[in-house]
Amino acid sequence: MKLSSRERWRGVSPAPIGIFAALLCTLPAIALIPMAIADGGSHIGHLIDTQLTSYALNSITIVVMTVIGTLLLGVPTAWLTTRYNFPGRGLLSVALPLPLAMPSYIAAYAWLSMTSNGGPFHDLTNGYMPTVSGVAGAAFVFSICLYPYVYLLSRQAFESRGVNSYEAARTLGSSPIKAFWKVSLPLARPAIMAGMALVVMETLADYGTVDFLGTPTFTVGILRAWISLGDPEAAARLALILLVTTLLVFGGERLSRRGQSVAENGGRSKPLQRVSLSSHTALFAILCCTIPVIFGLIAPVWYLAILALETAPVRSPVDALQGTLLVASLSALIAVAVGLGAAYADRTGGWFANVSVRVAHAGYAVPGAVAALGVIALLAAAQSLIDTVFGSVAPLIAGGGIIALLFAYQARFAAAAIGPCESALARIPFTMDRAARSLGASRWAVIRRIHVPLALGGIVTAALLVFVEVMKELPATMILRPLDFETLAVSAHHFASDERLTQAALPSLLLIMLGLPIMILVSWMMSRQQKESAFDE
Amino acid sequence: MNDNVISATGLIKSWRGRRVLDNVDIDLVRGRVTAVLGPSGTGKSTLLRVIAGLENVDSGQVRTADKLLTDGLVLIPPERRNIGLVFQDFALFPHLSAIDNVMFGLVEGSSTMRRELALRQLDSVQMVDKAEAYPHTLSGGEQQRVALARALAPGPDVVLMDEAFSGLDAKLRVELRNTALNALNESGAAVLVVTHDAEEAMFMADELALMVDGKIIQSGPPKDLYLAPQSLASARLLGEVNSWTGPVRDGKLHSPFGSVSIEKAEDNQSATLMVRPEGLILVDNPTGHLDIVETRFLGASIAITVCAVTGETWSSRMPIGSQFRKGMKVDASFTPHLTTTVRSDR
Repeated sequence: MKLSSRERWRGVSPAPIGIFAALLCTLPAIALIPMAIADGGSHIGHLIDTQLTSYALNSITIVVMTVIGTLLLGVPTAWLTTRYNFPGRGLLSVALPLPLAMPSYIAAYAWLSMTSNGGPFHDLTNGYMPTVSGVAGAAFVFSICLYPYVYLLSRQAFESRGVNSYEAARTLGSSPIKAFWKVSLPLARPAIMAGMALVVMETLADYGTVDFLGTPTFTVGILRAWISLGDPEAAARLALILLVTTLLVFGGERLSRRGQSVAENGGRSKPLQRVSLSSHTALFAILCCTIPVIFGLIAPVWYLAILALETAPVRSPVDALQGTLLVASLSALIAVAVGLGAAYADRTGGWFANVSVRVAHAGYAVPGAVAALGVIALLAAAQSLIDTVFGSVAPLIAGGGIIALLFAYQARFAAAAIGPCESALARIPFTMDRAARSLGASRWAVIRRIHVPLALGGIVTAALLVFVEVMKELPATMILRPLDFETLAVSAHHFASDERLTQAALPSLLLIMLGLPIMILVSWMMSRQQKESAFDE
Repeated sequence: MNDNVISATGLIKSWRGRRVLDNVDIDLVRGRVTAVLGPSGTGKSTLLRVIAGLENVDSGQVRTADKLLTDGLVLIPPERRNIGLVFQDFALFPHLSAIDNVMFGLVEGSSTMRRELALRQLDSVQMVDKAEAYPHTLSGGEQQRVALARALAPGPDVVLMDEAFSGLDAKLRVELRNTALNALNESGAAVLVVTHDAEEAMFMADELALMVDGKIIQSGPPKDLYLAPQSLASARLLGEVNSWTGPVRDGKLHSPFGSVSIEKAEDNQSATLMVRPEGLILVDNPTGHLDIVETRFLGASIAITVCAVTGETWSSRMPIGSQFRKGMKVDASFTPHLTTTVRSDR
């Protein structure tokens, strides 16, 4: 149900916030286009001859293998933890999403080292375990770090949708496995697809992992062109190709969901009756749900902790820690303001605000390297404009420093805040707005007294998610950071790419230690919200 | 031959320290509709889910004539019980068309045969022309019909209906109850209907069981239950009832609204008098001992509230056209078959 146009336009129109969010997320990407076609495209041929094919091939192979890997890890674990009861189920269902706190490049450092000559896994298997590197190694690392997206979304689908459908299938003669294949899985397909789309976008946006494991993809190409070769046109072109690819994935997923959204409303949720497993099958379930957590989190953390304890740091990580905390918390605050504004615009604004917010959502598909280049292109355009107006006294804005970095983060992550803010607001029925207004509350009072208290959980979730994402971000930070500005991610990457893994261990560990409690908190808050909404129904 | 398709005896189930099923016995008989009526949260749905095999019990048994289905340890899974279950929200598979939903439970025979059978089943609920439609394009009533056809298609021995009509508006509900009853009678299955709607329960049921707090407090044909409730709780479940509790004197209960004799009760023993509003007959009398404090026009009758000298109020239904107005003094008498007395220890 939407508000009528009379209700909508009385008072302040929130539409500009939606438009602002859309601009924030799309301008940098748009600014890339003139930069990419700056000298007529003579570079393209050269690009194709040299690198493009290998970037594309690596990207595609890694994406396909990662999708298969995350599906195999994410869907069965989600099914086991929602439908069955076995010892440790509660703990495991909280632990399974936690590898999200592990930046994949850090998992790559740890796994390469653990499986190389002299590493614990290498020794333990007498060298039979292949070293984690190259295309397969990258896919392995992405699978164990990104499967939580598939796990979380399919779990939510298994929990909330079609419990009755599953039971109906059982009463109509289907065995549990047949009911899973014929009913539950098809019903969860949109959610699983959404999880897969996130996995693909994250994989394509990654720079640290593929760079370290020696399988260059588009992001590596962009950073090489920009930093090593000083060739902004080539970088912009690669960035555009990457952007189009991620937008296609993003758009494709949205489109497929549109077709199924009506069909998804298959009934109210009901407390689940979990089936207890016999001791043999329980053991199997425990194994299935433990391995991803061990591979994605425990083993690398344990290994890095040992390295960090054994090595005296050559440089104090305090500066990097401060840098990370500064940009992550500022970005979280800005993102929540933007996200909340956009969600509000979507809730109460007209069609133009709605469309703007849809567009802003696409920011999620903008990889960090692309966002960073776009910000640079935008600033360069703005600079030349200022120069023509002010002449020689024009202030210098290109370069931009921390502000430019924060802008790029917003272009990439503001969309991550819009989602949770939207769903938090969406849970407040419009009848409550009307009830409050009829009781004499002004529009602002409705926001302050009804919306904010009810949506607080979603708002905090949004802030925490953006905090973690910014903290882990590497390529945009590499491109845009001022020379004297360091973050934990950049520091870890520099040490690791200089083959000084022991030195990379400490900043890596600090990153995980920051991210882990936040992820636990987010996971707890999300499950609480889910319980509440199930209770509401 | 025993016609019991399913017998449940001594079912006990606790959940979070509360007894949701407290020693429940129920028989489901071929060709007969059994209804369980009770307020929300009394364990009706749990009983149904236990019979379906979707939940186990702490103790007690569910069995067919020759097979144990549930006894706290044994739990034959739902797919091996030959039951049909109709859910409150219908639980149609959103990714399958109406006909594919109905065909879902059909496994034997060629696909042409199964299709034909499914079409016949859809025809019996007047849904054959929407066979290819997807659930989200169907109205609530149509979804309900498809859900019923889907449950009946595999020829179940038992059909279980969980608040199956409560999602529909009043007019549609009446219409669908008729359709459902016809289709159920045709199928010859034993039927269990779980509902909180007294009218629905009495309309559907051959045998009615009243359930409160996990216990079946009374069961029998609906008419017997309505006319001879064994407790105030039973009487209230089936409709509005006036009641008065007091001591027995000289074999009679002397309420402020009138006196009735009570059998098998000793003096000073506490007992309750229950009179349905339509059994409280008012007579115009300027020197009467009851005051009319309110009248409401209900269409088919008038609802009248009378107040006794003690301040207690009862309600009565009188035919329209009767000249009762607020402020009049009246006397009351009770229609015998709408009046019941029970000792308070019952």
